[in-house]
Amino acid sequence: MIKKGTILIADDDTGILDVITLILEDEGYTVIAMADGMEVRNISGQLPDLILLDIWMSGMDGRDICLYLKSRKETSHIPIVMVSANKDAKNIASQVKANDFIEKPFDLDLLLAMVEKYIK
Amino acid sequence: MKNITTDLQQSKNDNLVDAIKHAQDIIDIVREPFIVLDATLHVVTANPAFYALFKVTRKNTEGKLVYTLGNRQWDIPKLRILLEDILPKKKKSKNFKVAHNFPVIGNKVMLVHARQIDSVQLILLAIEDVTKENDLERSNAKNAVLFKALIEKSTDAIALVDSKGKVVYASPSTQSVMGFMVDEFRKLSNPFDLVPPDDRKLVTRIFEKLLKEPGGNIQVTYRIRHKNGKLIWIDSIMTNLIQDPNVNAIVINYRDVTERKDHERQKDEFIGIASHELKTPVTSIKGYAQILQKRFGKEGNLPAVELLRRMDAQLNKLNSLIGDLLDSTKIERGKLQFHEGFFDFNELVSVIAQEMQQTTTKHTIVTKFAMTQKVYGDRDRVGQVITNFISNAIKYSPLGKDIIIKTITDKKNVTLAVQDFGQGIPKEKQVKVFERFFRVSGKAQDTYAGLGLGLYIASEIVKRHGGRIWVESREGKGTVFYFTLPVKKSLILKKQTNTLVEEERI
Repeated sequence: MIKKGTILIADDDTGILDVITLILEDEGYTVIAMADGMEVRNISGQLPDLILLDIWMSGMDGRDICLYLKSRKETSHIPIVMVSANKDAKNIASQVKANDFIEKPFDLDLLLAMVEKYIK
Repeated sequence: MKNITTDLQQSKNDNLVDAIKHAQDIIDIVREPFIVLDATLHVVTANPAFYALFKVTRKNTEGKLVYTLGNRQWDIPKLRILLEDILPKKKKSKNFKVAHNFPVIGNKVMLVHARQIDSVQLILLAIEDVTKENDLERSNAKNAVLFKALIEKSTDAIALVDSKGKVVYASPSTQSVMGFMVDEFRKLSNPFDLVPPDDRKLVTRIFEKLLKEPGGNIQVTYRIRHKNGKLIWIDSIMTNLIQDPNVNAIVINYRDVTERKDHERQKDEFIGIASHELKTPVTSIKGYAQILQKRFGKEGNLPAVELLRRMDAQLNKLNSLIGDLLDSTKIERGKLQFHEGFFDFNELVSVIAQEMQQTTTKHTIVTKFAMTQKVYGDRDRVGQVITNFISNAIKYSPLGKDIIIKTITDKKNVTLAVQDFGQGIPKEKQVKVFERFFRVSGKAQDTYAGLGLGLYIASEIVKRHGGRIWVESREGKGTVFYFTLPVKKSLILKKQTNTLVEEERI
């Protein structure tokens, strides 16, 4: 399969990480799954093409991670999509300068459309 | 000369006899018991009222020593004081109270008016039976003590305030509830100053509303600053008794419900966290089902795809139940938030009607649209109301048939009507359907599963948009649910009062 791009997914729930990984790998994306917010915050070197970031993560709040990555020179260009079960995900996403949001539970097609929007 | 004297004597005697006779007539018609004694305290005469009250006969009374009357029942120490002590000195006495337990007629309280007339050597006793009045007075006094104790020992506090809000009475529990001594509290120029500004508007509005309703009462829960500086929750019932001349105030009966409020908040927080936690596995399961659907689709295994589609539909149902649970706690805590903007009302209804048609094969959803109209509000939340109406219509007309969806527009409002031809809702239950946890229940076959939250949430969403929600239904004929939304931006998205200042977790 043709390598389409690398996506970083951050969620403290391993079930969610697993299912998103399966969905994206089925479509030919390379997936980096992280359950630790601190790890996401400190990414360096080989940077992903897109980050799917859970809002409410244990250890470190997804909102803080987003604001931090958007403020860092090396990472500010990476599109970030906030993922949350919160109905206010839309507002939160705009508050923390994320590019987009997707609500849990999501439809597979909606998730793929969202990813394709940022990785062409 | 002697004759003349005798004549005079005779005529004098005649006058006396006449006078006594007259006196007897007067005594007889007086309704109060009346008795005449001679100087040796023997009964000269008594009136019928006396005989009736004390159940004695004229024969056993006249000529007897007063103390020996009725088998010495009249040997009353207080009467002796009156007759032997007071009268000889003062000649008269008024309202001399004598209480005595008569063996035959029981307890009597009497007011005795007495007069000693030395010229004729007679003592007149008018007896007023005040037993009833006395009992009433005693029970009133007892009641007063009882009520005072109830008010003063009650853990609920009571305050009477005038129409300006100035405290005219405060019960001792004021101190245990709010920390203020009664006097301190009474000196406050306006006790509503203790209410924090966020809640004060609500309380003032309710107080003013109550002032216009003599006899009315309103229950309201708000926060108040305890003397120790902490905010506590107060649940109060205010009753307007300003026009009652005996009260002349607004009566505020209140209690500290901080603990209950804390528990409620903990419970709502728990439901908030629980529903978030429940959504996480639903998200995974839904994801797995969709991955399988896709993989089976590629292999051409269509029956498997169909089963997984049904599984996905059930997961959506589960998800919306969890969402309802979360929404209802948000409403209770004043945390339901809106993201407003303009949207096309007909377009939204049309999209949802098509989606809902996918969920049923028994029903045909028919749409009748009025001219299109842009509405300002939260598109997703209004969509939630529309979805709720249509899914109810499907749920409560299990035998199928049409579901008719109409939009009506005028300059000020848009209205949606969703009609089903199901079993209908009994008249007495129609107002209740918008209450939290209400479910139409009845015989087993008429009972439907659900949390009883959908219409409660719908009603809250519509009201917060400044709209109106209602139902028309006839049993056996079907039901029409309606809501209207104002088109104008300025009217809508009212802020909830009763808010709690705290960070939302999710």
